[in-house]
Amino acid sequence: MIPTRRTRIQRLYPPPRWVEPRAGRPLRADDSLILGVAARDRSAFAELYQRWFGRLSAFLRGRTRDRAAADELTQEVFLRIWRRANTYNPSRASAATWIYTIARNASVDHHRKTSRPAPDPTDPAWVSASPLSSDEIVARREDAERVRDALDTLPPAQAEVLRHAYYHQRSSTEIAAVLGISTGTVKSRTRLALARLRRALPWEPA
Amino acid sequence: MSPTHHLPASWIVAWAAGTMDPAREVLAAAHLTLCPHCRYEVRQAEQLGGAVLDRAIRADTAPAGSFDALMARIDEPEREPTRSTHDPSGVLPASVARYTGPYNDVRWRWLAPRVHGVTLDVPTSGLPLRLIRIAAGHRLPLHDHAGAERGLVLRGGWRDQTGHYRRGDACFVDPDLKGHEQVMDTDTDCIALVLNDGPIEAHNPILRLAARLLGV
Repeated sequence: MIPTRRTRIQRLYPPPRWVEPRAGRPLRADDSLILGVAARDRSAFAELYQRWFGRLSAFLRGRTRDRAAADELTQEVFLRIWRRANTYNPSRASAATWIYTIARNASVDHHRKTSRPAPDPTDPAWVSASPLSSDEIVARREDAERVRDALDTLPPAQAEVLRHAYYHQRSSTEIAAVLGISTGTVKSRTRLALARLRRALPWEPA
Repeated sequence: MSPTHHLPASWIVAWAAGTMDPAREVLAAAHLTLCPHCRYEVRQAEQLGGAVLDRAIRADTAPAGSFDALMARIDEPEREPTRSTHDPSGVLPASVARYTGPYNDVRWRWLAPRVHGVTLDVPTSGLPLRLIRIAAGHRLPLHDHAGAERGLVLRGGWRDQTGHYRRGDACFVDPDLKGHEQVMDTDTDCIALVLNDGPIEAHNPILRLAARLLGV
Protein backbone atom coordinates (compact mmCIF):
# COMPACT_ATOMS: atom_id res chain seq x y z
CA MET A 1 0.00 0.00 0.00
CA ILE A 2 1.59 3.22 -1.16
CA PRO A 3 0.44 5.61 1.63
CA THR A 4 1.81 3.31 4.32
CA ARG A 5 5.10 2.94 2.48
CA ARG A 6 5.37 6.70 2.05
CA THR A 7 4.82 7.32 5.76
CA ARG A 8 7.47 4.72 6.50
CA ILE A 9 9.91 6.43 4.13
CA GLN A 10 9.19 9.84 5.64
CA ARG A 11 9.90 8.41 9.06
CA LEU A 12 13.03 6.66 7.82
CA TYR A 13 14.41 9.75 6.09
CA PRO A 14 13.65 12.84 8.10
CA PRO A 15 15.20 16.03 6.74
CA PRO A 16 18.94 16.19 7.40
CA ARG A 17 20.07 18.54 10.12
CA TRP A 18 21.11 21.27 7.67
CA VAL A 19 17.48 21.64 6.62
CA GLU A 20 16.35 24.11 9.23
CA PRO A 21 12.99 23.47 10.90
CA ARG A 22 11.91 27.00 9.88
CA ALA A 23 11.75 25.89 6.25
CA GLY A 24 8.84 27.70 4.63
CA ARG A 25 7.13 24.54 3.41
CA PRO A 26 6.60 21.10 4.89
CA LEU A 27 8.60 18.22 3.42
CA ARG A 28 6.62 16.42 0.76
CA ALA A 29 6.63 12.79 -0.28
CA ASP A 30 9.02 13.44 -3.19
CA ASP A 31 11.52 15.21 -0.92
CA SER A 32 11.63 12.22 1.43
CA LEU A 33 11.92 9.82 -1.48
CA ILE A 34 14.94 11.67 -2.92
CA LEU A 35 16.54 11.76 0.55
CA GLY A 36 15.89 8.01 0.68
CA VAL A 37 17.57 7.55 -2.72
CA ALA A 38 20.56 9.52 -1.37
CA ALA A 39 20.73 6.94 1.45
CA ARG A 40 20.73 4.23 -1.27
CA ASP A 41 17.25 2.88 -0.44
CA ARG A 42 16.16 0.99 -3.55
CA SER A 43 12.49 0.84 -2.53
CA ALA A 44 12.43 4.66 -2.27
CA PHE A 45 14.00 4.81 -5.74
CA ALA A 46 11.40 2.35 -7.09
CA GLU A 47 8.60 4.54 -5.77
CA LEU A 48 10.14 7.72 -7.13
CA TYR A 49 10.43 5.91 -10.49
CA GLN A 50 6.74 5.01 -10.48
CA ARG A 51 5.70 8.52 -9.51
CA TRP A 52 7.82 10.33 -12.13
CA PHE A 53 8.21 7.93 -15.06
CA GLY A 54 5.01 9.03 -16.85
CA ARG A 55 5.68 12.74 -16.49
CA LEU A 56 9.36 12.49 -17.45
CA SER A 57 8.81 10.28 -20.48
CA ALA A 58 6.01 12.58 -21.76
CA PHE A 59 8.20 15.62 -21.11
CA LEU A 60 11.25 14.15 -22.83
CA ARG A 61 9.18 12.93 -25.77
CA GLY A 62 7.96 16.51 -26.24
CA ARG A 63 11.61 17.52 -26.51
CA THR A 64 13.10 14.74 -28.64
CA ARG A 65 9.97 14.00 -30.74
CA ASP A 66 11.23 10.42 -30.92
CA ARG A 67 9.89 7.58 -28.78
CA ALA A 68 13.02 5.42 -28.57
CA ALA A 69 15.32 8.35 -27.84
CA ALA A 70 12.88 9.61 -25.17
CA ASP A 71 12.83 6.19 -23.46
CA GLU A 72 16.62 6.06 -23.45
CA LEU A 73 16.77 9.63 -22.08
CA THR A 74 14.24 8.82 -19.35
CA GLN A 75 16.48 6.01 -18.14
CA GLU A 76 19.47 8.35 -18.31
CA VAL A 77 17.61 10.92 -16.18
CA PHE A 78 16.84 8.30 -13.51
CA LEU A 79 20.50 7.20 -13.50
CA ARG A 80 21.50 10.84 -12.88
CA ILE A 81 18.88 11.13 -10.12
CA TRP A 82 20.39 8.07 -8.43
CA ARG A 83 23.94 9.40 -8.75
CA ARG A 84 23.18 12.97 -7.68
CA ALA A 85 20.55 12.40 -4.98
CA ASN A 86 23.13 13.28 -2.32
CA THR A 87 23.34 16.82 -3.74
CA TYR A 88 19.59 17.43 -3.31
CA ASN A 89 18.79 20.16 -0.79
CA PRO A 90 15.02 20.44 -0.19
CA SER A 91 15.41 23.87 1.39
CA ARG A 92 16.89 25.21 -1.85
CA ALA A 93 14.67 23.73 -4.56
CA SER A 94 11.49 21.71 -4.76
CA ALA A 95 11.75 18.08 -5.91
CA ALA A 96 10.00 19.00 -9.19
CA THR A 97 12.50 21.80 -9.92
CA TRP A 98 15.49 19.60 -9.07
CA ILE A 99 14.23 16.76 -11.27
CA TYR A 100 13.40 19.27 -14.01
CA THR A 101 16.95 20.69 -14.12
CA ILE A 102 18.40 17.16 -14.31
CA ALA A 103 16.02 16.26 -17.17
CA ARG A 104 16.76 19.52 -19.00
CA ASN A 105 20.54 19.05 -18.76
CA ALA A 106 20.28 15.42 -19.87
CA SER A 107 18.21 16.41 -22.89
CA VAL A 108 20.59 19.25 -23.86
CA ASP A 109 23.66 17.02 -23.40
CA HIS A 110 21.98 14.29 -25.47
CA HIS A 111 22.39 16.43 -28.61
CA ARG A 112 25.94 17.60 -27.89
CA LYS A 113 29.46 16.28 -27.72
CA THR A 114 30.36 18.57 -24.82
CA SER A 115 28.18 19.11 -21.79
CA ARG A 116 26.31 22.37 -21.26
CA PRO A 117 28.44 25.02 -19.49
CA ALA A 118 27.37 25.56 -15.88
CA PRO A 119 28.35 28.54 -13.74
CA ASP A 120 30.76 27.10 -11.19
CA PRO A 121 31.30 28.54 -7.67
CA THR A 122 34.90 27.22 -7.66
CA ASP A 123 35.72 29.31 -10.77
CA PRO A 124 38.29 32.03 -9.84
CA ALA A 125 36.08 34.49 -11.81
CA TRP A 126 33.00 33.74 -9.63
CA VAL A 127 31.20 36.71 -8.02
CA SER A 128 29.24 35.80 -4.85
CA ALA A 129 25.93 37.27 -3.77
CA SER A 130 25.88 39.37 -0.65
CA PRO A 131 24.85 37.28 2.40
CA LEU A 132 21.10 37.04 3.03
CA SER A 133 19.22 37.88 6.19
CA SER A 134 17.13 35.09 7.75
CA ASP A 135 13.89 36.75 6.55
CA GLU A 136 15.12 36.55 3.00
CA ILE A 137 16.05 32.87 3.44
CA VAL A 138 12.52 32.07 4.60
CA ALA A 139 11.07 34.03 1.69
CA ARG A 140 13.18 32.07 -0.78
CA ARG A 141 11.98 28.76 0.55
CA GLU A 142 8.39 29.63 -0.16
CA ASP A 143 9.12 30.39 -3.79
CA ALA A 144 8.19 27.01 -5.26
CA GLU A 145 4.59 27.15 -3.99
CA ARG A 146 4.14 30.71 -5.11
CA VAL A 147 5.64 30.00 -8.53
CA ARG A 148 3.05 27.27 -9.08
CA ASP A 149 0.24 29.63 -8.07
CA ALA A 150 1.65 32.39 -10.27
CA LEU A 151 1.87 29.99 -13.23
CA ASP A 152 -1.79 29.00 -12.77
CA THR A 153 -2.97 32.61 -12.79
CA LEU A 154 -0.95 33.82 -15.80
CA PRO A 155 -2.96 35.14 -18.77
CA PRO A 156 -3.36 32.21 -21.21
CA ALA A 157 -1.30 33.87 -23.97
CA GLN A 158 1.70 34.23 -21.62
CA ALA A 159 1.29 30.73 -20.16
CA GLU A 160 1.20 29.30 -23.69
CA VAL A 161 4.55 30.90 -24.60
CA LEU A 162 6.14 29.47 -21.42
CA ARG A 163 4.70 26.02 -22.13
CA HIS A 164 6.26 26.03 -25.63
CA ALA A 165 9.61 27.18 -24.21
CA TYR A 166 9.81 24.75 -21.29
CA TYR A 167 7.80 21.78 -22.41
CA HIS A 168 8.66 21.66 -26.10
CA GLN A 169 12.09 23.26 -25.78
CA ARG A 170 11.36 25.80 -28.48
CA SER A 171 13.37 28.97 -29.04
CA SER A 172 11.68 32.38 -29.38
CA THR A 173 11.93 32.13 -33.18
CA GLU A 174 10.35 28.66 -33.21
CA ILE A 175 7.54 29.69 -30.85
CA ALA A 176 6.81 32.70 -33.08
CA ALA A 177 6.54 30.38 -36.11
CA VAL A 178 4.28 27.85 -34.32
CA LEU A 179 1.91 30.49 -32.90
CA GLY A 180 2.00 32.74 -35.96
CA ILE A 181 3.11 35.80 -34.00
CA SER A 182 6.25 37.96 -34.20
CA THR A 183 9.44 37.16 -32.26
CA GLY A 184 9.00 40.55 -30.58
CA THR A 185 5.60 39.45 -29.25
CA VAL A 186 7.08 36.20 -27.92
CA LYS A 187 9.78 38.19 -26.14
CA SER A 188 7.35 40.72 -24.68
CA ARG A 189 5.01 37.94 -23.42
CA THR A 190 8.02 36.23 -21.83
CA ARG A 191 9.06 39.49 -20.20
CA LEU A 192 5.53 40.15 -18.90
CA ALA A 193 5.21 36.60 -17.54
CA LEU A 194 8.50 36.88 -15.63
CA ALA A 195 7.58 40.35 -14.31
CA ARG A 196 4.26 39.00 -13.06
CA LEU A 197 6.02 36.10 -11.44
CA ARG A 198 8.47 38.46 -9.76
CA ARG A 199 5.60 40.53 -8.35
CA ALA A 200 4.04 37.36 -6.94
CA LEU A 201 7.22 36.59 -5.04
CA PRO A 202 7.95 38.27 -1.74
CA TRP A 203 11.55 39.16 -2.21
CA GLU A 204 13.97 40.40 -4.81
CA PRO A 205 17.72 40.83 -4.39
CA ALA A 206 19.05 44.38 -4.24
CA MET B 1 31.31 44.34 -7.88
CA SER B 2 28.05 43.00 -9.31
CA PRO B 3 27.02 43.95 -12.84
CA THR B 4 24.27 46.51 -13.44
CA HIS B 5 23.34 45.60 -17.03
CA HIS B 6 21.60 42.21 -17.05
CA LEU B 7 20.40 39.49 -19.43
CA PRO B 8 16.95 40.10 -20.99
CA ALA B 9 14.00 37.95 -19.82
CA SER B 10 13.98 35.95 -23.07
CA TRP B 11 17.59 34.86 -22.35
CA ILE B 12 16.78 33.94 -18.74
CA VAL B 13 13.92 31.70 -19.90
CA ALA B 14 15.94 30.24 -22.80
CA TRP B 15 18.75 29.36 -20.35
CA ALA B 16 16.31 27.78 -17.87
CA ALA B 17 14.47 25.91 -20.65
CA GLY B 18 17.69 24.69 -22.30
CA THR B 19 16.85 26.16 -25.71
CA MET B 20 19.92 28.36 -26.34
CA ASP B 21 22.39 27.77 -29.11
CA PRO B 22 25.84 26.85 -27.76
CA ALA B 23 27.45 30.25 -28.49
CA ARG B 24 24.77 32.11 -26.53
CA GLU B 25 25.17 29.57 -23.73
CA VAL B 26 28.87 30.44 -23.43
CA LEU B 27 28.02 34.14 -23.15
CA ALA B 28 25.12 33.51 -20.72
CA ALA B 29 27.21 31.17 -18.52
CA ALA B 30 29.96 33.82 -18.38
CA HIS B 31 27.47 36.50 -17.30
CA LEU B 32 25.87 34.16 -14.73
CA THR B 33 29.31 33.46 -13.22
CA LEU B 34 29.67 37.19 -12.61
CA CYS B 35 26.07 38.13 -11.76
CA PRO B 36 24.25 36.93 -8.58
CA HIS B 37 21.11 38.85 -9.66
CA CYS B 38 20.69 36.88 -12.90
CA ARG B 39 21.52 33.60 -11.11
CA TYR B 40 18.55 34.33 -8.85
CA GLU B 41 16.38 35.10 -11.91
CA VAL B 42 17.45 31.80 -13.44
CA ARG B 43 16.51 29.92 -10.27
CA GLN B 44 13.03 31.42 -10.45
CA ALA B 45 12.76 30.56 -14.13
CA GLU B 46 13.85 26.98 -13.34
CA GLN B 47 11.06 26.76 -10.78
CA LEU B 48 8.66 27.56 -13.62
CA GLY B 49 10.17 24.60 -15.48
CA GLY B 50 9.65 22.47 -12.37
CA ALA B 51 6.01 23.59 -12.16
CA VAL B 52 5.47 22.79 -15.86
CA LEU B 53 7.01 19.31 -15.41
CA ASP B 54 4.98 18.75 -12.23
CA ARG B 55 1.82 19.47 -14.24
CA ALA B 56 2.85 17.27 -17.20
CA ILE B 57 0.34 14.68 -18.35
CA ARG B 58 1.29 11.23 -17.13
CA ALA B 59 1.20 9.68 -20.58
CA ASP B 60 2.47 6.23 -19.59
CA THR B 61 2.99 4.07 -16.62
CA ALA B 62 6.44 2.51 -16.49
CA PRO B 63 6.60 -0.62 -18.68
CA ALA B 64 6.99 -3.89 -16.76
CA GLY B 65 10.63 -4.74 -16.20
CA SER B 66 11.91 -1.25 -17.07
CA PHE B 67 12.86 -0.52 -13.45
CA ASP B 68 14.82 -3.78 -13.25
CA ALA B 69 16.57 -2.87 -16.51
CA LEU B 70 17.47 0.48 -14.94
CA MET B 71 18.79 -1.15 -11.76
CA ALA B 72 20.99 -3.43 -13.86
CA ARG B 73 22.76 -0.28 -15.15
CA ILE B 74 22.91 1.53 -11.84
CA ASP B 75 26.62 0.91 -11.25
CA GLU B 76 27.66 1.89 -14.77
CA PRO B 77 30.35 4.58 -14.68
CA GLU B 78 29.03 8.01 -15.58
CA ARG B 79 30.09 9.64 -18.85
CA GLU B 80 33.01 11.92 -18.02
CA PRO B 81 31.70 15.47 -17.77
CA THR B 82 33.50 17.94 -20.01
CA ARG B 83 36.53 19.01 -18.00
CA SER B 84 36.27 22.62 -16.93
CA THR B 85 39.21 24.94 -17.58
CA HIS B 86 39.70 27.55 -14.91
CA ASP B 87 41.59 30.73 -15.67
CA PRO B 88 43.85 31.33 -12.63
CA SER B 89 43.91 35.09 -13.39
CA GLY B 90 40.11 35.19 -12.86
CA VAL B 91 39.59 37.30 -16.01
CA LEU B 92 37.88 34.64 -18.12
CA PRO B 93 34.96 32.62 -16.71
CA ALA B 94 35.30 28.85 -17.22
CA SER B 95 32.76 28.76 -20.07
CA VAL B 96 35.10 31.02 -22.09
CA ALA B 97 38.43 29.53 -20.91
CA ARG B 98 37.14 26.12 -22.10
CA TYR B 99 37.64 27.43 -25.66
CA THR B 100 40.44 29.98 -25.35
CA GLY B 101 42.56 28.58 -22.52
CA PRO B 102 43.58 30.81 -19.59
CA TYR B 103 43.78 34.56 -20.26
CA ASN B 104 47.60 34.66 -20.31
CA ASP B 105 47.71 31.96 -23.04
CA VAL B 106 45.13 33.48 -25.40
CA ARG B 107 46.48 33.61 -28.98
CA TRP B 108 45.35 37.06 -30.08
CA ARG B 109 45.06 37.88 -33.76
CA TRP B 110 45.19 41.42 -35.16
CA LEU B 111 41.76 42.60 -36.34
CA ALA B 112 42.14 46.36 -36.69
CA PRO B 113 44.40 49.06 -35.27
CA ARG B 114 44.39 48.65 -31.45
CA VAL B 115 41.88 45.78 -31.72
CA HIS B 116 42.78 42.09 -31.37
CA GLY B 117 40.51 39.08 -31.24
CA VAL B 118 40.21 35.32 -31.12
CA THR B 119 37.34 33.20 -32.44
CA LEU B 120 35.79 30.57 -30.16
CA ASP B 121 35.15 27.27 -31.89
CA VAL B 122 31.54 26.91 -30.79
CA PRO B 123 28.49 26.35 -33.04
CA THR B 124 26.22 29.35 -33.60
CA SER B 125 23.51 30.50 -35.97
CA GLY B 126 25.05 33.97 -36.51
CA LEU B 127 28.64 35.13 -36.88
CA PRO B 128 31.26 33.34 -34.74
CA LEU B 129 31.57 34.11 -31.04
CA ARG B 130 34.67 36.25 -30.45
CA LEU B 131 36.76 37.33 -27.54
CA ILE B 132 38.16 40.78 -28.33
CA ARG B 133 40.77 43.03 -26.77
CA ILE B 134 40.57 46.78 -27.41
CA ALA B 135 43.29 49.16 -26.22
CA ALA B 136 42.51 51.37 -23.21
CA GLY B 137 41.03 54.73 -24.21
CA HIS B 138 40.49 53.68 -27.85
CA ARG B 139 37.51 55.19 -29.67
CA LEU B 140 36.01 52.68 -32.13
CA PRO B 141 35.11 54.17 -35.52
CA LEU B 142 31.41 55.07 -35.82
CA HIS B 143 29.54 51.99 -37.06
CA ASP B 144 26.11 50.37 -37.69
CA HIS B 145 25.04 46.77 -37.03
CA ALA B 146 23.35 44.65 -39.70
CA GLY B 147 22.06 42.35 -36.91
CA ALA B 148 21.79 42.37 -33.13
CA GLU B 149 25.07 42.54 -31.17
CA ARG B 150 25.49 41.06 -27.70
CA GLY B 151 28.60 42.04 -25.79
CA LEU B 152 29.79 41.00 -22.34
CA VAL B 153 32.56 43.01 -20.67
CA LEU B 154 35.16 40.85 -18.91
CA ARG B 155 37.76 43.50 -18.10
CA GLY B 156 37.94 47.29 -18.41
CA GLY B 157 34.82 48.82 -19.92
CA TRP B 158 33.30 51.27 -22.39
CA ARG B 159 30.76 54.02 -22.76
CA ASP B 160 28.31 54.43 -25.63
CA GLN B 161 24.97 56.17 -26.26
CA THR B 162 23.19 53.57 -24.13
CA GLY B 163 25.32 53.66 -20.98
CA HIS B 164 28.55 52.73 -19.23
CA TYR B 165 29.53 49.06 -19.22
CA ARG B 166 32.02 47.45 -16.83
CA ARG B 167 33.06 43.89 -15.92
CA GLY B 168 30.11 41.50 -16.07
CA ASP B 169 27.78 43.93 -17.83
CA ALA B 170 25.80 42.63 -20.78
CA CYS B 171 25.53 45.18 -23.61
CA PHE B 172 22.82 44.17 -26.09
CA VAL B 173 22.64 46.45 -29.13
CA ASP B 174 19.68 46.44 -31.45
CA PRO B 175 20.28 46.83 -35.23
CA ASP B 176 17.99 49.91 -35.03
CA LEU B 177 20.74 51.79 -33.20
CA LYS B 178 22.49 53.79 -35.93
CA GLY B 179 25.94 55.25 -35.42
CA HIS B 180 27.17 53.10 -32.51
CA GLU B 181 29.94 55.07 -30.86
CA GLN B 182 32.02 53.20 -28.27
CA VAL B 183 34.83 54.75 -26.23
CA MET B 184 36.92 52.42 -24.10
CA ASP B 185 37.66 53.27 -20.49
CA THR B 186 41.21 54.42 -19.89
CA ASP B 187 42.09 52.28 -16.83
CA THR B 188 43.00 49.07 -18.71
CA ASP B 189 42.59 47.32 -22.06
CA CYS B 190 39.02 46.18 -22.57
CA ILE B 191 38.35 42.44 -22.86
CA ALA B 192 34.88 41.43 -24.05
CA LEU B 193 32.92 38.56 -25.54
CA VAL B 194 31.02 39.61 -28.65
CA LEU B 195 28.33 37.77 -30.59
CA ASN B 196 26.93 39.39 -33.75
CA ASP B 197 23.98 38.28 -35.85
CA GLY B 198 25.23 40.30 -38.82
CA PRO B 199 28.26 42.24 -40.00
CA ILE B 200 29.40 45.58 -38.60
CA GLU B 201 29.51 48.46 -41.10
CA ALA B 202 31.82 51.38 -40.44
CA HIS B 203 30.46 54.81 -41.48
CA ASN B 204 33.80 55.81 -43.00
CA PRO B 205 33.89 54.34 -46.58
CA ILE B 206 37.67 53.88 -46.51
CA LEU B 207 37.45 51.79 -43.33
CA ARG B 208 34.59 49.79 -44.86
CA LEU B 209 36.69 49.01 -47.92
CA ALA B 210 39.72 48.12 -45.79
CA ALA B 211 37.59 45.79 -43.65
CA ARG B 212 36.32 43.99 -46.79
CA LEU B 213 39.82 43.66 -48.25
CA LEU B 214 41.20 42.32 -44.98
CA GLY B 215 38.18 40.10 -44.35
CA VAL B 216 37.56 41.39 -40.82
